[in-house]
Amino acid sequence: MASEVEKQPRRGAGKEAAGTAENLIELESAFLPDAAIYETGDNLFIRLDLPGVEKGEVRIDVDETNTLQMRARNAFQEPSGMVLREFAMGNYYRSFRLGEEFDKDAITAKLEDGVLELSVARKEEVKPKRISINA
Amino acid sequence: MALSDWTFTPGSGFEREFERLRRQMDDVFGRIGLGSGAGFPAVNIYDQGEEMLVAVHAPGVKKEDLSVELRENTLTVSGTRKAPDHADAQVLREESAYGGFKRSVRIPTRVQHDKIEASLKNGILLVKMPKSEDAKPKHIAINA
Repeated sequence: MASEVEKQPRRGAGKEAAGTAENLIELESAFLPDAAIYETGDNLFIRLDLPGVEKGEVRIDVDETNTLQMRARNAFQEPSGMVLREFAMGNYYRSFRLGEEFDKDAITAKLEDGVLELSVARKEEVKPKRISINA
Repeated sequence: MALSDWTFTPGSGFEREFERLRRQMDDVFGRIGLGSGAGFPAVNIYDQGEEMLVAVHAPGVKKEDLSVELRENTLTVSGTRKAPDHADAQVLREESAYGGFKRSVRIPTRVQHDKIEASLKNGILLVKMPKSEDAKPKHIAINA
C-alpha cells in the first residue's frame, strides 16, 4: 500500500516557482497534480497528470523512509491576454509514502501526453507466491 | 460517460476536497445548463491582439481521439480519454476522469475560419484563431 504524505500543496498555489531550479519546487509553490494509484501482485503504479511538462523536466526522489517525491517543471509558458481561466499552469509537486515492501531501487518512469506513469516493484521476498499442493 | 468519476479521499486536506467537489458540481451543472462554472475539460481563453488562443487541459488524450470544430463563434472540442488498461490491478485511488467529453466555448470576437490551427503537445491542446480584420485592434491617428 502507498499512503499519501499528509502535507500537500494547496491546489491553485501561486506561480512563483516558475522558471526556478527544480529543487526549489516545494509544497507551497507548486500545483498538486491529479493522481491514480493501482496495485498488482508485483507492482505499484502511480500515474500523475502533468499537462505541459516535457520529457526531462521531472525529478523523482525516494528517501530513506521510502517517501517518493515527484517534482516537475512546467516549461509551458502561459500566453498573455487572459480572458477566461479554468485551469492554472505551473510546476507540480506531489509525494507519497511507499510501504516497506516496495523496492526504491526498482522504480521506472514514463512520460507520455502529459501523463507520468511510475512503476514501483515489490521486493522479491514479499511477492505473492503460488504454492502448489501436492497430493 | 464517466465524467464525474471523482474519488473522494479522506484525510488529504479540506481545500483540496472542496476544490474537487466544486469541479464535480460544475461538471454536473455545466452539462445540464445551470450555473456558469467551469466545464470539462477545463479551458483557458487568451486575447493576443491579432489572434485568439484557446488552451484545453487534455492530459492523456491522443491526437487521434480528439476533434476540434468551429461553427460561427462557437468552438467545440470533443474526444475521449481512454482509461489505462490495468485489468488485473486493484485501484487504490483514481482522481482523473476518463471517457468521452464535449465542450463548447464562445469566442468573444470574430475569427478567420480558414486560418485556424490546432496543436496537441504534452497534454495541452492549443487552438490559434487569427481575428477577422475588423476585429483586430487598430490605432487611430489623431489629426491636429
